[in-house]
Amino acid sequence: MRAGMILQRWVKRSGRLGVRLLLALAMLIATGMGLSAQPGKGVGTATPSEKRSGSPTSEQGAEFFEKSIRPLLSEHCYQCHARANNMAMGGLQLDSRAAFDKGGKHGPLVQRAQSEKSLLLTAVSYQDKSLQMPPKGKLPDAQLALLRKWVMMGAPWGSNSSALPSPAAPFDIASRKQHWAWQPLKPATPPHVKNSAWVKTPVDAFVLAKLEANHLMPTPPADKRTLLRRVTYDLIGLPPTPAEMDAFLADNSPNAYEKVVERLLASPHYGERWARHWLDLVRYAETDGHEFDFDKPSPWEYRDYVIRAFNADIPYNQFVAEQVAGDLLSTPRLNPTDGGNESAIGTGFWWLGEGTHSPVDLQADEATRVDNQIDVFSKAFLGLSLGCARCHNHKFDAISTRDYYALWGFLKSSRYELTDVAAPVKREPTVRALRELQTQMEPLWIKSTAGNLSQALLGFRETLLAQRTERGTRTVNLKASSVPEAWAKYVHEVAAKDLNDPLYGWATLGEEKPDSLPGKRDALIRTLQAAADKAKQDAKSIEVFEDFRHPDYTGWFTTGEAFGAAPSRTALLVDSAKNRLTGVMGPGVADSGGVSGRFQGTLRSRTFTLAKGRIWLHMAGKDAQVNLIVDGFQRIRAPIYGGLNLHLDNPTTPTWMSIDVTKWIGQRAYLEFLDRGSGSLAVDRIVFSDGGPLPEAPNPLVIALLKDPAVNSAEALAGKLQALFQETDRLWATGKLAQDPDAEARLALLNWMLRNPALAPATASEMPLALRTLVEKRKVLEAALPEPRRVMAMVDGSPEDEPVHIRGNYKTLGENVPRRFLEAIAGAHQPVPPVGSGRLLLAQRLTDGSDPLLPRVAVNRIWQHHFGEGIVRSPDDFGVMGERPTHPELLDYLATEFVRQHWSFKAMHRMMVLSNTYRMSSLPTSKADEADPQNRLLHRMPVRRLEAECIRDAILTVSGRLDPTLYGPSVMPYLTDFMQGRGRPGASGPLDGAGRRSLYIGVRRNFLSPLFLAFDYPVPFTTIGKRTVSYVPAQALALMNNPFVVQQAETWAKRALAEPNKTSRERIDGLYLAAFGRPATEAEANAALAFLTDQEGANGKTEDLRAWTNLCHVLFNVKEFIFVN
Amino acid sequence: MHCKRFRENPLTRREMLAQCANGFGLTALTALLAEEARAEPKPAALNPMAPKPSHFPARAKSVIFLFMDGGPSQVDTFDPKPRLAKENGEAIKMQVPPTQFDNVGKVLKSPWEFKPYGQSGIPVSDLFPHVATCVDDLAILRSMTSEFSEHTNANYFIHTGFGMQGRPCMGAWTTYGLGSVCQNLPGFVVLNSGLIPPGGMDCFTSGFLPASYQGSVFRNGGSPVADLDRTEPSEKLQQDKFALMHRLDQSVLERMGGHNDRVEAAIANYELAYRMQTAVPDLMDVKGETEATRKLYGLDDPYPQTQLYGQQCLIARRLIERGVRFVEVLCPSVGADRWDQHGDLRTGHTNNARAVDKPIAGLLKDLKSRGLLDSTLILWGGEFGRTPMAQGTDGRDHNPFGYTVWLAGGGVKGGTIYGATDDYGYYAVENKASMHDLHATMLHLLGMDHKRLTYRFSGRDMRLTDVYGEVIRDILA
Repeated sequence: MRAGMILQRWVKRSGRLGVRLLLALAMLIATGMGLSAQPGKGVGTATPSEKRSGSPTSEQGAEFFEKSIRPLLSEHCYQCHARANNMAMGGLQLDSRAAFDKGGKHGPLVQRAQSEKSLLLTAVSYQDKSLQMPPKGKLPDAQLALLRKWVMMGAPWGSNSSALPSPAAPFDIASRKQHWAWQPLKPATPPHVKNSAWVKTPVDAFVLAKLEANHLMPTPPADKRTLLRRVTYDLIGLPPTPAEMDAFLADNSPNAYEKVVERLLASPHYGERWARHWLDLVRYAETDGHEFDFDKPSPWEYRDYVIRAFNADIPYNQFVAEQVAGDLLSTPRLNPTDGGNESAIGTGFWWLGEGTHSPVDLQADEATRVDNQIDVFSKAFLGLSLGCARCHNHKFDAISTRDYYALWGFLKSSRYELTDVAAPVKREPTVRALRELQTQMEPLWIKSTAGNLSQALLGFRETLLAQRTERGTRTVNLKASSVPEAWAKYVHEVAAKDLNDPLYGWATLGEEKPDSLPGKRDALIRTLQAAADKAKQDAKSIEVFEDFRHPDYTGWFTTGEAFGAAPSRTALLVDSAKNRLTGVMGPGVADSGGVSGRFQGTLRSRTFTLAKGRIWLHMAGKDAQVNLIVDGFQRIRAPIYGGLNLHLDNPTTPTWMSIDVTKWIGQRAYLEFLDRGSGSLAVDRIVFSDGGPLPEAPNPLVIALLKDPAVNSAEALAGKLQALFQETDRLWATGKLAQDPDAEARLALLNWMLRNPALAPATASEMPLALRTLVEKRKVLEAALPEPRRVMAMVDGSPEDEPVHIRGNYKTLGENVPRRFLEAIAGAHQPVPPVGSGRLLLAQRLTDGSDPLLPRVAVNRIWQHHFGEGIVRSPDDFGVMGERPTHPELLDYLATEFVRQHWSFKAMHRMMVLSNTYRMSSLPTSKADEADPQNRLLHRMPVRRLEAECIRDAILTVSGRLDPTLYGPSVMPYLTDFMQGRGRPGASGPLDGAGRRSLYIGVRRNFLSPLFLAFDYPVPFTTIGKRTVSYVPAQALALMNNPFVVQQAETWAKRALAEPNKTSRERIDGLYLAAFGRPATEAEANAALAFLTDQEGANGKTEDLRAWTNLCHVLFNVKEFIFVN
Repeated sequence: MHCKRFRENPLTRREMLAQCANGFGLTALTALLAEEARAEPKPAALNPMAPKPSHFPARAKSVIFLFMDGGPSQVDTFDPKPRLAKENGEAIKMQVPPTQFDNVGKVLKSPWEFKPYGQSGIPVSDLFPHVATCVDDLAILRSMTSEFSEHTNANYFIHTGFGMQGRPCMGAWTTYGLGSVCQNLPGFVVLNSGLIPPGGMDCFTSGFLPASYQGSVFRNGGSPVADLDRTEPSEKLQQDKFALMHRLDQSVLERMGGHNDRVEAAIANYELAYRMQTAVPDLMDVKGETEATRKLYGLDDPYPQTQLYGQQCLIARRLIERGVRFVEVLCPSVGADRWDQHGDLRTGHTNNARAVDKPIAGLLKDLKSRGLLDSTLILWGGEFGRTPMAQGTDGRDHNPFGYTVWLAGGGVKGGTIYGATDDYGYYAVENKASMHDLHATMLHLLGMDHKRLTYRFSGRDMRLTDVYGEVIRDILA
């Protein structure tokens, strides 16, 4: 009410100016005046006064600039000319007044004295062939007209501030922080009450004090049956069984109720019930929604994590910290049962939102995604809506636009990851053993292969020479020849045709006589040198992004074990099918398969700006992937984005592969290498190029060899070649190759030898026994590696701050905002995160107890689920627009106790449900109801309708169909004919959901269960702390005619009839006890009996299943079934 | 006896039930059933769907939204561009923004001729020969824009004013604002002719508004409403079950102290549900319509999709007659695709137009002859338009920068053209209209100020038009 009035007053006060402006605009449109290139068809951007006087006021000029020119500049120019984008082509930046005035290398854009001749208009008019902007194409005429008009106006500039000033009072954080919610917790002592005997837990003192102050009495306690049904639904979401009811009724001990509460809190179903409340807060869903409703990977892992966390009563601050930064905790919380990393699963909460699979604009998509993350973060944990601050300072709350973008930076610096959370402890010994094994295997591979090579190279000179002699006679009979057929073929058919082949020189000079050889040799050297020079020249336009020659992964991020702690100097490529070494990558390589193909992990680059048209990667691998993540866009799919993904299937030969990025020049991206534990990936060079990859060139060692004056005959040449190859082989065998000054050239020669068909028989010979033993040993170890268990999680990326998006538009960027928590909570001066994204710091700030909102919001949510309404009745909004607490002292008392009692939910439940307040009846009492019609004083308990899930779970419970299994992948929802559209799963799930509790029914965004939706199941798009409760005919239709309900009625009837030796009256009581927790009254039983008699009479038999099914069906429809009182 | 004093929440009370709670039995239920379809509406405070007063006198009482799923091409329907014929096959001479498929082809002239129609002489292409005869009733918005190039975002945007899922759609806002005159049928009905738009049921959601305002999607063929048909083999059995349920419900109410608004609201649901069991089959049964009417809607057309869509348009009229507030009619499947011709524009648009042209014209004429057009706002349009240049060689890609929708009836000035695109028909350049403007105009015609139709959610007074929107007054009659 109060906030509404404030709003109205504000609209009245601040609206006046706006109204005047609108009026002016309307007049302009009506009179057909305007600025458009087509006179008389007003675009409606100027004001009448401007038209009259010809010189707009500065406000009008600024308005025109902001409305028409800044968006235009942003759309067409800022990609190349904006400080915010780090782009200043031609020295020109257009995103600030000062930079605009300064101009670029051609000078200022606008000469104010002679506006028509301005450089700006010349460039955009495309009159001058040498200066045409924007380069992609001429602007539409209408936009040209706007620019011309603007220049004629004297190029007025708009606001340079980060955000437009709020139309409300100026943003003054100190005064706004006066709002109650920002105040520190006020430790309160339970107040003194007259009727102190009524106080069971401190809660009662606060409630009773208010009632007494209003001269009201609490309603008498509910009967035991009502209380048990109430507390059982509240704590585990299921109805009490008749046996539980009997036990409670029979227990006359003074702490009978306390025992029940402890039993329920210890029940694993407690976690299920409260997890579902939590899932409402984090827009939990298992698909991406959007057009095709793609599945998210194992989202149920997050749901199960939440259930386990509630059952284990994990301190709430820990629970929150895990969701914000569980991946970064120095000691992650491990699952006591299976050793899995629980903390990391928590970060999945960031990724539960809706997702677009083919956005046209990736930056807009990122803005939408991050906005949703901030929205959910702020509402779920803090009860604040930060969303407003995306475009302007919050109109009422102490939340600035800078606060919003300060949080944005944390997310921009973080990345999506499918992380393996399977018992790290179980994995580590095997990983260590495999690494150890590899240190033994690698030398054996090299020794064996190098030894074979050296054997094969022994007669190399003679082989070459012999081949020459025979060729010289022109009577080559390769079959009969003493020369190995393969070499002859190679030299003739390959080497002779490839300038870059190490034997090209031999193929050219080998048959020359000593007198002609030197001349030919000099010509050859010139040719090769020219080719080498050209390659060098060509390479100048290519930017080497990474060659992994650093001693560590600086600038890179790894997860898992596959890529190791640092790049390798070289990596061996082994053809595992043939047990043969086929190549050596390096000198500097990131290698995920070196130790074991079963290792899994990721390697991600720093974030960089895309500047050249292609990214080339020199890689080998199998069953591994490379993704280019542009602006955080993860859902890479054909046809639009298929090109951002490379799939490797070349385990034995490195290849240059490329990604075309021309569409995203100027945007931010990072590379992602994924080895999911079934393959391998090695990469040794990554280059950015507008054309091809690094050009190939003749081997410099071969050129150097030819330049040697001693190479004056074929014999000398063959000898030198043999020596070069042998030396290379020797360096490798002795482990000195990677350190050699010519390492790269040496490696090229080595790889040439390893892949040379003529040498193949040598390298393909039998694996030595020692190596074979180790290979077998490795297989055994690999089998012991636990299967990866991949969950959606977050990891750190390059630390980056986000500039303010002026009016929420990412195309108009303002000043950079360092990453920090809300100023109103943590102050203006917060330390800059020392490393990484800073999410860990954010989590600490949020949960260290200094933030009063976190505990207040949490205890309020618990209260709401027990008492129907929160102490603050707007649970997701504690701001000025939200409701004031009905019992502020109680709220702070609970919040303080919550923190003191280690943020324990269960402690809060005890304090609440053991209170006399909670035990009150819901029966109306006229005096109190009149005085407190909305029950804001809590003079009685409310009657509450059950949530959709509880209704379905109750049906399954009473029918006996409930399968109480916990956890696991969701059950496919039952798909009716009415659930149509793209992304519809191929097959429906079972009608009864396999008997599983409702929280295990798959939450498919585009195919939410109509039964659930009818009962106000939330659409998962933002935090829903309070579901709407509505009454629609679809509810009645469902309970009357839905085949699931009808089916369960029969199951229930069968169950009821199966009990032996019961009278119908006893059976009816049994049904009532199961459904409503009480026996039927005489009148109810008589009505039911009459109904049965009628039915059974018609069907001609007693205990007729059809009759009892009908009765059970009616009981599902009796309203008591869906209400708790 | 407690007399309406004990209430959970004053906003959800049902006075009528409070008055007759003790005597409310099957007799009362059947008595209700016998009432006219336009039964005396219940007081607004007690029934979320009860009619509510508008902010100012309304021009239109109800809306029929003919959603052209996929995005019809503006330059092939209502926005002729001679320049396309002149430069057919040439590269387009303007800067082209990134399109959905970024497979930019040459300028593609429209395969259809445009001719002037009616007194207004407004040109319409050969795709819509029947609608063309109604052109003097249409206000054609040639400068419509969207903010999204993708179907799903754009579908959410045109339906809810926001590009992501979870916001209430137009129909939900309308029934939230005005309730519904009809108490035997849902106030907001979506007629599914076969194609659910990308984005799915969230195009018809009540979002953060209570579930009462959800769209009820009527299936085409079979029983149109989920769980509507009684499962009992005989009507008598169902009546017997109702009777028992009612007695037991009364017992429950008594146990709760005689009155409880929420429980009574749940009981009241069964009345409407029960009434719907008769009202819906009655609605769907068009046998009573004259031969002339059936022909008018194309029910005799040789093209099955025309018959199907004609049937839906006829049902839309019958819904409006019964006082339903908001009806959305979805497109039928014509084989290849909805209006989303990335290739083979000629075949795809021909079939899509053929399916809807005669039925839409029939609907306009039928409403007019019955005097219902003045109080019914017809809204025709897709989530965006299409590019003037080809995608590949013979298709058109998505274009949110300038396209055409039209309005008719309900306070709209017929025979009007509003706004213009550039010479190619790519960008709206004159009187650019935003989606929020369209929504604001629709609400205005319904008598609602789009700035005052708000719902408090997560700390904000939410609106269909967010913080934007201007009523397009030039098209108001």
